[in-house]
Amino acid sequence: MSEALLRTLPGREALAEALARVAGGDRGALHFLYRQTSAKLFGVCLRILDNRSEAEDVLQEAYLTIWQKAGSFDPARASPVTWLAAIARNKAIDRRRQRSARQADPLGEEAEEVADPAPSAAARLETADERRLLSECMGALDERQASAIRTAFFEGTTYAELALRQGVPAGTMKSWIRRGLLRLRECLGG
Amino acid sequence: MSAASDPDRDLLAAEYALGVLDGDAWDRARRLIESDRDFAALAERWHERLSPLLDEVAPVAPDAGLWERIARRLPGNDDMAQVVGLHRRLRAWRAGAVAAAALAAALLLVLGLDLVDRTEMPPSAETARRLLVASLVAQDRSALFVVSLDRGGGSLLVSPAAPPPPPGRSRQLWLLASSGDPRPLGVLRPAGPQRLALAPPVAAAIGEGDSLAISLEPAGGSPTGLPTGPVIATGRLDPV
Repeated sequence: MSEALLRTLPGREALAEALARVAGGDRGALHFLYRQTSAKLFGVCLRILDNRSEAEDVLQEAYLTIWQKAGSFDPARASPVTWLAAIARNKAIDRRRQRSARQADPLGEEAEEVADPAPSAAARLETADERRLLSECMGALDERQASAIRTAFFEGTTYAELALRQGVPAGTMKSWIRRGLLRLRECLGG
Repeated sequence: MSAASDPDRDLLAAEYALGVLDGDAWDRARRLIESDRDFAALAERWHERLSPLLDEVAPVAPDAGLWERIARRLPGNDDMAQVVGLHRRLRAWRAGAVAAAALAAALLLVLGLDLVDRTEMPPSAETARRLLVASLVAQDRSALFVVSLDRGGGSLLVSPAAPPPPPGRSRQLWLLASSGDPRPLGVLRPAGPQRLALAPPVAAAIGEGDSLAISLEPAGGSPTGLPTGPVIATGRLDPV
């Protein structure tokens, strides 16, 4: 299938097809995936690491892992971007954990959580229904549960870091987040 | 294992997906992701639940040279270059009756996906040496047959990139020994990839450097146990 044809497929199908080809050793398909997704994944890594050079290292590692693991992607179980982003996030969080305590930013002065106020059309990777549902379910949580969950997701902060920022014991923060996650699960269904 | 039957594990999967674990819990979760499919599935569910949040992450273009750095580091370059080269050669053929799906299947068989778990690293140098593949090319380049030896399974994987044989004829695969008569390895289906089981003495004897040939026989194969029709393609079993 030519690349021109790949581009005419809806985004999700094209990415799934590209992943299948990457599993078969097609380097061109990996390049296609990179062109389609690297800006999003780089944005994800940058928010977690807050350091361009480290984010670039992690991004490279992420695409190498995608190359290795493409065969395990199951389009019936996961959406391509979620799967790709999970790999990038996990690597970025791992790197963040390895950073020395000296470089960590426990008080969160640099890394303010700023939501992108108006995601561009290109950034709308999920369906409107899924976005609305999560938004409603997050809205049903306590403010501090929702805020902690959002900060954890975007920045990959540990329980201890979150607790420090909020000035509460780690146990309290764990409680907030765990209860928040359980309520999300109930609200989102299944 | 459903979430209901072990709520602690589902919560751990949620915390892992959220990215909030540290220390021992982080290590434990990462080990479970690799070793426990049920846990990995739980974590995947949580990634999907949280995924709409990704929309709020602004895309940022990485440096222009980053792709080159990735491309240079793709592992197993030689193995993959050979395989991808084969794929390109297959694509260069005038497609005609050859469907794209058949080519993809041929490539997958060449990679020996029955031999190598796709979730692992691409074949190590050692595995690559054990993967023997023959490309049997017709003289007039109208057909290509990719044959790979699955020694562990005692079989040959055959992928044709060729139109079916003429009606009333079958293609048959032979092992050309250095001395003695050609030995029959099996009759090929008219189209599509197939696995030919090898008799144990043949499976043991066949190896690197052996020549293979395909002849055109009456339907069902040679009645005599030796080739009776023209040889249409030959090739040699070599490491990938």
